[in-house]
Amino acid sequence: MKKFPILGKLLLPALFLLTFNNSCTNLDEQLYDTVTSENFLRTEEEFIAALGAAYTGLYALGNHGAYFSVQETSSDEAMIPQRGGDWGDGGQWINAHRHEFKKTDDNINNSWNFLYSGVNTCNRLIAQFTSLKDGGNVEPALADKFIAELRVLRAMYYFWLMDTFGNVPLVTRFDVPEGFQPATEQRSKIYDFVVAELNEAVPLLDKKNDGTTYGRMNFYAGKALQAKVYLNAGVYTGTAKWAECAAACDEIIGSALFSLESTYRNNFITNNSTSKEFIFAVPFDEVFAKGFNLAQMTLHYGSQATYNLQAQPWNGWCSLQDFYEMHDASDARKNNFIQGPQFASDGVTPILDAGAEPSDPDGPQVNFTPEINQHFPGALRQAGVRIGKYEFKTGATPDLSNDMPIFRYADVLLMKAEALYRQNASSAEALTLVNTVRNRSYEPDSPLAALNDQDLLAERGREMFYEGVRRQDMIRFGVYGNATEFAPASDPCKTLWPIPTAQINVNPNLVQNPCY
Amino acid sequence: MPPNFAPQTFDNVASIRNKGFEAVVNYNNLIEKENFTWSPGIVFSKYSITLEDFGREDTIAIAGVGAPGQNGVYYTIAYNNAPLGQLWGPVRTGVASDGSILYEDIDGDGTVNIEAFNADQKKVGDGVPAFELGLNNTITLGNFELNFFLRGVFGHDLANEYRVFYENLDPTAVTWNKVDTKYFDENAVGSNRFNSYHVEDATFLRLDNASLGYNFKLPTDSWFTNARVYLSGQNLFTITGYTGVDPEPRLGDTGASDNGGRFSTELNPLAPGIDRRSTYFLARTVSVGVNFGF
Repeated sequence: MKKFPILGKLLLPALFLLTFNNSCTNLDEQLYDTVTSENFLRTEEEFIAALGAAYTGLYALGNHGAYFSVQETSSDEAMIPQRGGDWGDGGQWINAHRHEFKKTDDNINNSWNFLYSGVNTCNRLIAQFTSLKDGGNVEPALADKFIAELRVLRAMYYFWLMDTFGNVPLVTRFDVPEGFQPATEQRSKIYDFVVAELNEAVPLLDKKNDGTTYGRMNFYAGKALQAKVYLNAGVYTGTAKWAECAAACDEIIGSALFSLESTYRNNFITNNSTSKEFIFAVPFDEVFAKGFNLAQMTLHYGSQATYNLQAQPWNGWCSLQDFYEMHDASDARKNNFIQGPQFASDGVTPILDAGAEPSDPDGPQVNFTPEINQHFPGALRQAGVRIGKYEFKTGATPDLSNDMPIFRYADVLLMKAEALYRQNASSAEALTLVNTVRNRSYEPDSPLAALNDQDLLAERGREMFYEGVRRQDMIRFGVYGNATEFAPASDPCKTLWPIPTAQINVNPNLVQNPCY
Repeated sequence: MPPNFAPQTFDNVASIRNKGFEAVVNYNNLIEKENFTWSPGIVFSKYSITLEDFGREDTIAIAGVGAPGQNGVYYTIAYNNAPLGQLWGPVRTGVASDGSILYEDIDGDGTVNIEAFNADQKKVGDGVPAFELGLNNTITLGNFELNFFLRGVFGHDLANEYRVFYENLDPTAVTWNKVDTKYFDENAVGSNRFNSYHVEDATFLRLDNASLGYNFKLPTDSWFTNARVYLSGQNLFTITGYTGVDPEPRLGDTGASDNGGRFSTELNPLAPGIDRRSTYFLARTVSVGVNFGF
């Protein structure tokens, strides 16, 4: 600057002015590092990214404390005994197993929150996608496909709400007025809504079944959901829909996209996402999709050494003796249970429990016994066979990587069999379907000679253990109210859960279910 | 309730009113003699905390105890216009011959249902102090100067969570060291469940800090304008009947820290009075120092 002092003094302000003049005319920025409403949700990939929020809520199915847990522990296939100081939890697990649900129980309120948060996420995304479509910002066909997917997913949440709480509010919009307090609708009205939504939206879904639709509602997942709804229609409305159930199953079977895995266990190994049986599954991952805590929930504290787990398990969940003994010795599905003396990962060092009760008949070695000495408060620490249906990877973190099927092909075959059997008790096709599923787990085959209610329910119990359907099946077969080892007989009105006090308090338009 | 953007929505649903009284009296050189001065000070405070404009008429249970075994068990309740800090639970009346805990039938209906806060539970403690008192003193004697702050908090209760989980000798308890206080009862082998027995009066008197210094007389041509040596300490003693780690009042709750794990750093102001398992010991510090002024 020293060389051209005058020039510099003149030139600099001139440059300055020029620069500013220029930029002042257009203040719009081109953003490269930020996602805005202007540049997001244009492409298929971006829709799928936004859609993720509707599915990640399902990770809660893998933990304990809410919907899935109450479904399971109120059936005869699973329970959480109170083991001394552990798992008392204010009585909520005892109440669930005895069908003495309290409207103040945390697990009931958590279930409600889980289900409605699913509904709300779907409503929110549907509203967003619809407004994008209406604003002409996006190809209508592209938005419609995703809106249909969300409607079917929302229908699944409403199906679960109808199945458990029964009479619930029906909210389908996101733009509701301030202070909106929806009123309770009858169970039959929720049923009608679910059926109508599925009829409308399922045909719009993707018929592809590959990596891009895995873990998402495609056409066949929608059909499986429809089959489930029709399977239980008699429970919800008093009018059975067996033919409709069978028809929905046929769409899945006829597609030839699914088949039974060669072994039952293949469905539940750590890397099970390639299972040809999965129609709709929650893809868990120990890093990216956490929440499947089964190893923690069911294994004994000392079992950490068996699987070299990274955290000490919680010693809670187990199955019941009667349910376990429903499996004969040659049934491969008996391996769904972890039973007997337990050893460290070397297979020879017994796992000793320093905290074993003095009354433990076989001393300190952890031995998962089918018999459970009592429900509460003093269940032995080792009592009960454990839920070993899913592979526990050696060195697993508390969050397993196994995926969790919600709809599985074997279930579709059994649903169809049941639908046929209900229409014609001597249906040969029904028997064949049941035996197809059953024989897979036997070597050599061990077919049933004929079908009856009891065998069908038992077969479903063995095949579908810990897949969240047992309570539903027991209700449909009319045995839910029967006394079991630790649960007294219960009234029919206990097939519904109470509307949580916490929810009624904030919305006086909710109506409590009968007998609560 | 639907619809919401997220499972939880944060909204301003209530206000908390702190009402109280604080008096500070400092007397500069109450006694002033040639070689001796004493300047005392006193701080007195008394307060109450009330939940207001709650926007709902029901009572909610808050501050879950946590795992293991006490999910769905709560320490306290809140309702509109309620004083906060009411520890709420069943009242332990004794131990049965089989080691299980006996509870009072508070609603008198002939059955004891300890899990319902409106049935057989009641207020079993108050987490907010009746009053607090601080005494500040500066005493000089010749070249010596003594400074100390004595502080007492009176009339508050704490739920001692270490006892809530680890006191009873139930079968699970053998895998940890039992918390052996004056309350320990080897006959109690029933499951641990928060109750009146775990609530203790946490009144205390503590010497928060004290320092003793000596000022040297310096010659006028000294390099220094002053020179002082001192001995000072923090948390020198606590007089209390409370058996937990720290009797300090807890005006906010860190939340359940399952199995002693992580806890929240955001304090819940609705649940005063809970001494969680995450409490760590207060350090006692003693330091020796030299001061030179130039």
